[in-house]
Amino acid sequence: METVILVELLGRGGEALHRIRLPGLPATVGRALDNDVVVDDPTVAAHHLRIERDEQGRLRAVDLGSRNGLFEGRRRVAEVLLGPGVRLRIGHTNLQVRTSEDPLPPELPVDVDSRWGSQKSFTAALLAYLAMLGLAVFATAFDGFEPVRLIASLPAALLAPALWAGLWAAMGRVAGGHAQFWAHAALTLAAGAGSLVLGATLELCAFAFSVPALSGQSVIALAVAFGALLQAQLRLVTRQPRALLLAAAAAVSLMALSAAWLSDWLANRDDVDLLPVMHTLAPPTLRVAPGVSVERLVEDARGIEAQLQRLREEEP
Amino acid sequence: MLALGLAIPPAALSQPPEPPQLSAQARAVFEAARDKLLQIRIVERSTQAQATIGSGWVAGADGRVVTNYHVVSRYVTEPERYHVEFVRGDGSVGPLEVLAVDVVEDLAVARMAGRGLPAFALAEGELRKGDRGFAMGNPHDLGLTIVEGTHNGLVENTLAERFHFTGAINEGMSGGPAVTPEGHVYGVNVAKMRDNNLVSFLVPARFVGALLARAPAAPPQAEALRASVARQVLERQEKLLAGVFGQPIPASVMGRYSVPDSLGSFMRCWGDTTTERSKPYVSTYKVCDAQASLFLSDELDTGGLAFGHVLLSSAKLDALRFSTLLEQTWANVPSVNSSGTSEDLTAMRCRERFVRSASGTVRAALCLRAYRRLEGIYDLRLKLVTLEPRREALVSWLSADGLSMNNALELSRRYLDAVRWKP
Repeated sequence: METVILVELLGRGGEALHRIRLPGLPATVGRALDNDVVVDDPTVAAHHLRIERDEQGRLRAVDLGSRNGLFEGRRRVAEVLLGPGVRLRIGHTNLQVRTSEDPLPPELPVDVDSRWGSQKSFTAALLAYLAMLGLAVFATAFDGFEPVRLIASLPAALLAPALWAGLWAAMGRVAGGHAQFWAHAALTLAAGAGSLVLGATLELCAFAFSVPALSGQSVIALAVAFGALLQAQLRLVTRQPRALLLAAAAAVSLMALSAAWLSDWLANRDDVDLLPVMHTLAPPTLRVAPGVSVERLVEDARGIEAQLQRLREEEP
Repeated sequence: MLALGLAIPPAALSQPPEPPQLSAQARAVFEAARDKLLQIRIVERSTQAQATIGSGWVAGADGRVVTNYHVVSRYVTEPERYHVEFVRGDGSVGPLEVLAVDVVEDLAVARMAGRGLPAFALAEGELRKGDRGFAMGNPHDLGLTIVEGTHNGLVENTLAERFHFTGAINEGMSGGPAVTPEGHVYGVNVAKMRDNNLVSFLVPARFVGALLARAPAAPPQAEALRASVARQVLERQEKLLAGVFGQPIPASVMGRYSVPDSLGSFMRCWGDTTTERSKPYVSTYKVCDAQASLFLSDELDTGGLAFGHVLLSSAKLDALRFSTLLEQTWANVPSVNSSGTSEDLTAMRCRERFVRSASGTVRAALCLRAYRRLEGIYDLRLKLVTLEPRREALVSWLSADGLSMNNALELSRRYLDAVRWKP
């Protein structure tokens, strides 16, 4: 079978803008209309480049004495051997040469993330988000629950995720891919629902097992959900390796978490009236940790004396 | 603008105040007292500017001077920043050395140089309600002043023993003497009630006698003075709590709970019930305050004792919403107006547990903080919320300042035991 040879003119992101099949070798590239590949770039010579086979039959590109030269990467060369991944630049034009002899990567499965774009997953994420939001509103409505209030708060609750998803869709488009708005929206809603579920779980565990450290940490739930969301959305937008995206998302959400903790600490460190006590209460039946005697609590409290002594020794 | 603002007060000062309609008796009393009255100034060392002004009086020919503790409190708290001086009626100025203070009765004894000075004598015997009294001092730096007023006996329902004096005692007169028509000191100006007319208070002279008797001849070190402040606070609280610990804590009923009630006539209690029809629950609260706070410095009071309860009951709310209702109340107690900054106090440190108590299982938190400048004194915050599947739940709190560690823990134990469920 005859070897097929293509010259691809590349865009800024490396995507092929034009594909020209060479009729045979040798072939020339340049601005003049008699070239096999005509490049409409004023910084390219009339006849800039010749593509041919050398004595050993290898494919190569030869500079035909142009003023602006032939570059492989950042290096100016008089001639260069061609093969998979070799990119050339003449003037302002990037190009590569591919042949049917080049190895072809295997067929990739349909992109796994695209399942977030399905109508089913969007509906599921939306319902989960609304259910958690409704539950949160209901639980705090001890002055009386009015469903109409829920409806009144809906536009705001939906606008924020919609704007977020819109932003990512725009970024996806700019990065050369697809907008995938519905996939971004589904992910955002799922992350919202996830942070609410995780936050409530933390509070419940704090109460049930009497672990004050877990209480008031909805910011952790938020950071975890945000990190996961970021990672998933980056995967929709770029083709960078998965581990890299995961690291980037983890770094961003850890930074946000530390900032939240730090500002909390700064705001409270001089507050001599603040009682660092767990606020969370849940229905009594959810309590798991056993009760201790009054005596035991009071005896435990004797340990505060040493703690306070250490605080006194520190500068205020 | 500034020049105008500064120009006004001297002009106003140079105008002699309207001659008050003093009785001939008041004139005689003032003439006799004039040389024994002082203005007391607390002066900041670096700027030599006055930070506090008050009044004082010579109580002994050897130069012993009496004033209020709160007049010299800045010096006692930060002796490295301030010093104390007196100004006589004739304008002569001299240094004062603080010998002893009584933070509970708000008195201080200091020493000025001199011998054979004209001095006040303390009154013997009791005045009776309606008797005439004369308070003297230097209000607002306007000059030595005499105020004629009426003795109204001891103030009722308070922990501190104070005379009620019906007369205009104003800022700057603190520490000045209140004398009988014979010119003997029967009280020391200490306070007035804000936004009220002529309701003023005096420290009875017998506390002055006690402090003069125990004041050392030479001024103590600053640390020793501060240690005496800490000791006095602890002793006052020890005495107050001895009365509480000597008997079961008085109880009253809230819903089906038995809760601590007023510990004595010195405590003021308030309460109310919210009965908004639109709300699916009823909230009842009661707060008792001993009004026992002691002035330590401009930023810091201590000695306060208060507690309160909130009963929440609902037949309509489900367990989830009832618990969030409780959560909100629990997060907001104790609702005490507390003084002090991180310069004076450490942060709070707590122990919290589920506790099996006489009211069933409760969530209880016991928090303490320490005083940075005073050794061995703590502020206590205790709170509990009942956690039983009942239709009524109780949130209860206790706030007590200036306690020893042992007293703080003992009070907590007794308070926790005093909240009971009465099915």
